Amino acid sequence: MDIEELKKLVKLVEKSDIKELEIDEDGRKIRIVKGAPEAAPMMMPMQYLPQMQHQAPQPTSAARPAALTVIGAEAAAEPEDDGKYHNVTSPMVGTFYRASAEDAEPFTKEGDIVSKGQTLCIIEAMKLMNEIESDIAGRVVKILVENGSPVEFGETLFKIEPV
Amino acid sequence: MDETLLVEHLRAARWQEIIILDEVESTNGYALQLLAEGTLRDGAVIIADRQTAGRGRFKRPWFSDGGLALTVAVMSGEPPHRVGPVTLNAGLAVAKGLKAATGHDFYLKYPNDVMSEKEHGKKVAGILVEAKPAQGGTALIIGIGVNVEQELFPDEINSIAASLHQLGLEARREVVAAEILNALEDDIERPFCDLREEWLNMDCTIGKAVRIKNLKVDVEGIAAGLDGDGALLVETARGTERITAGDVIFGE
Repeated sequence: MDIEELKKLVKLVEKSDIKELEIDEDGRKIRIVKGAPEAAPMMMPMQYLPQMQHQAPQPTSAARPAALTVIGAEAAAEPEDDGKYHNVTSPMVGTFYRASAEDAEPFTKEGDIVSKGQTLCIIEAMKLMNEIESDIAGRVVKILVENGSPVEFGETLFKIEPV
Repeated sequence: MDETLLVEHLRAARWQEIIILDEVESTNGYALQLLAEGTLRDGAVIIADRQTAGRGRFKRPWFSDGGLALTVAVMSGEPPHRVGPVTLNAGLAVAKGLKAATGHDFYLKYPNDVMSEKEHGKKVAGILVEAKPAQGGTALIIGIGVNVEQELFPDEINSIAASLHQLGLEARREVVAAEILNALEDDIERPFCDLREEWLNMDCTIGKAVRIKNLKVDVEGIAAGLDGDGALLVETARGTERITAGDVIFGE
């Protein structure tokens, strides 16, 4: 699902009587909930769709409907057989970024086929932007870290199924 | 750009290949392109008279009309997690190069903004280092933007940016470039612990209130110093924290 579809969906949910809508598509789970979320930290996983927070329809009428919040987009269940996947880990402590600019497309997403040497993400520390490349060719099965999150040395960032 | 003036002032032997461009989108972008093509040499320098899409962190636009855009390429044998302090070395070298070119004392705001004064200074130069794994080590693309001749900045940055010209410092861009390259040759590959003392002498951030974002837990406190690896030491209610990543925001 792309941003446009998601926006459309958010609008539809807002107009409808639906309180909560959950979609599981291509292993990615999206949950749209009307009203304030109870657990604020749940907002974190949406950081890779930053536009949503600004472009969610603003209530204009006097009778304000409850705010509409997209709570989270989580990957589906853990891959079953961990052993067959290759882990790409962080070579340093820093901040994890999935794109080269705030409004740019992510370098890669779950389901993508990547080649060896292809840039997967950036880890920033002390204003040094480190491009992290895939050390293997394969399919990105899972991205374990949210955009803008801190990562530790050796933390697994990507699970890649060799092809 | 007057190449002869640049070469006249250049003492550094480290920078073997100097590429001067009339106009380029960004000097870092140009270097990254050469790297991708396999033709970026260690010690290459790219200088542009005009950047049409100069960029800072995350491609935030860097206002470069009337400025100097300079990128140097250093092929480090170190792995990516060991090259971090190079951003501090670069800031120090730029501040020293600007002092050599103008006679004015500049100051450093952690990690590497070059400021016009110790208190309430404006940003005169900014640095963006991009690193890519290369040949078992790390290719460091060190981009430096200096505000040289700007008469005026756009409203949104006018209160925080200053050019050498606005500070009453008239220096030719060629001389500024050469002096920065001279200072970079001296400092860029030294271990940060050797430069720490010198860095702290030009610091304008120690003792100030600081907040660090983008960490697992937000850190707030007073900037207390730098350790030998270039990590920022922050005195907090929980004790001294050692910061190597995150957005460093100095409070009022």
